[in-house]
Amino acid sequence: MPDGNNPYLAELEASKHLRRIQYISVWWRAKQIEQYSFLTAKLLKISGLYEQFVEEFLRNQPYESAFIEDTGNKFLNYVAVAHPHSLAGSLAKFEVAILTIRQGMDETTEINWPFSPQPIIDALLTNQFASLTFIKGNYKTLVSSQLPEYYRITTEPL
Amino acid sequence: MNTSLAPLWIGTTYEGNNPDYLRDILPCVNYLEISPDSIATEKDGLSSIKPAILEELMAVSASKHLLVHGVGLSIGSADGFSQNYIRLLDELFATLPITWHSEHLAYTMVNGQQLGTMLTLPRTDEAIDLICRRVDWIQRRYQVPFLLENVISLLPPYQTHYTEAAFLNKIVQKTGCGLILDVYNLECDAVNVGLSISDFLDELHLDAVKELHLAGGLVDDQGFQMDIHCLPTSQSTLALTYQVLNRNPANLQAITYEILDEFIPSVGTKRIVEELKRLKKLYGSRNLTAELAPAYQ
Repeated sequence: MPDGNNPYLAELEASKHLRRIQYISVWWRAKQIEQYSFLTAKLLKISGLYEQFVEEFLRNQPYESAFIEDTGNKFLNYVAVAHPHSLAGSLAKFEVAILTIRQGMDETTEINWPFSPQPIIDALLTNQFASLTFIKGNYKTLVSSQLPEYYRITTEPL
Repeated sequence: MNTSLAPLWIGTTYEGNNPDYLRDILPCVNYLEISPDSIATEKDGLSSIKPAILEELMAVSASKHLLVHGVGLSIGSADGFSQNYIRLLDELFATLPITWHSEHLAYTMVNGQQLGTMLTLPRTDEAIDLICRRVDWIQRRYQVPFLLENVISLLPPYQTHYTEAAFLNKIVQKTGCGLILDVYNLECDAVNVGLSISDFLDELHLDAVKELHLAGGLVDDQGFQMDIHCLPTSQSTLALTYQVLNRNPANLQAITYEILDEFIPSVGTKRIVEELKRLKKLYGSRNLTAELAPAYQ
């Protein structure tokens, strides 16, 4: 809280300036997240949850780096950890795993999904949201640099 | 207007990895302005320029000048400027022929936390001393001209006896650095905080200005004019540019049209190319007629 005896800080607190700065800061970071976390951000946007997730993330995350990779990765990891049993959580974990491989790291990751992942990934990549289908079931994907498209679905629907 | 000086260069921002766009804008520019922060990547807390963009810029440097314009140095942070940004500058200067470089007269970090925007410094002697020490250090390290740019005011002014122009003049006088005059930012400050542009220009030592920045932005729903480079330059910005040029800034060499990468698709490459041609026609020769000057409204 500002020092009540400091007239400048009191003026600042009473002004709209801090809220505007906060708005600008959030806007830029949301833009970065959208650009980096391509699939997850798109899913959250069409679900109407993007702003809520970004605000949640920013409240819980110190802003130590202005680089998109840092903010983007931290956002994806946040969604994966904070919402582990949701579709968004699975997709975020998947996206981190794919990006990690694209950055040259040789890691293998297994991801559980509450819905069949392929139709969802296809719809997000092609912007065909009208054809987006959610097929319930316990699915797994294996993400690895050794696989032709870096991932394969290892289980079938129940 | 003094027409005996060399033609003004026209340039624009480029963030790399957009070869079709680059092919279309290159014939219209004398230089590209690159922002290290926008062409870099970070791994384990260490930044480096993306190798593919470095190669792209190396190819461009055979025919065009490269100017470096920073965002992330945070030259005004009380707890020190960004070492990550210095690492990027080192890499760029070791690899590319950089004609000059610049940074915003602002701070973007406080106690290691990013602000997500640029804030103006309190216009005090203490701030001048801090900035001048850092400018001296930068000028010793990189042996090309270094310029500082005016940013828009997002905070109410802290008690000071320096005007905006006097603050810039003092830093220039003590360090010998140059200035970028962001014409659009002056308009923002006129709208948002009541800056008198004519008083500012009367007081500023315009001979320090080596580069002008132009951009087109938006006004938010509360009437605040935002420093966001998302549109072609407005008529009022063009007219204000004309006024600045009419004051004969003797060392002015370049005019940069700034557009953020994110807004290239919405503005369109064709419109950006037209904008660059328009700026060259209006200002490139320095041989302007009053008819070419749009009225400043």
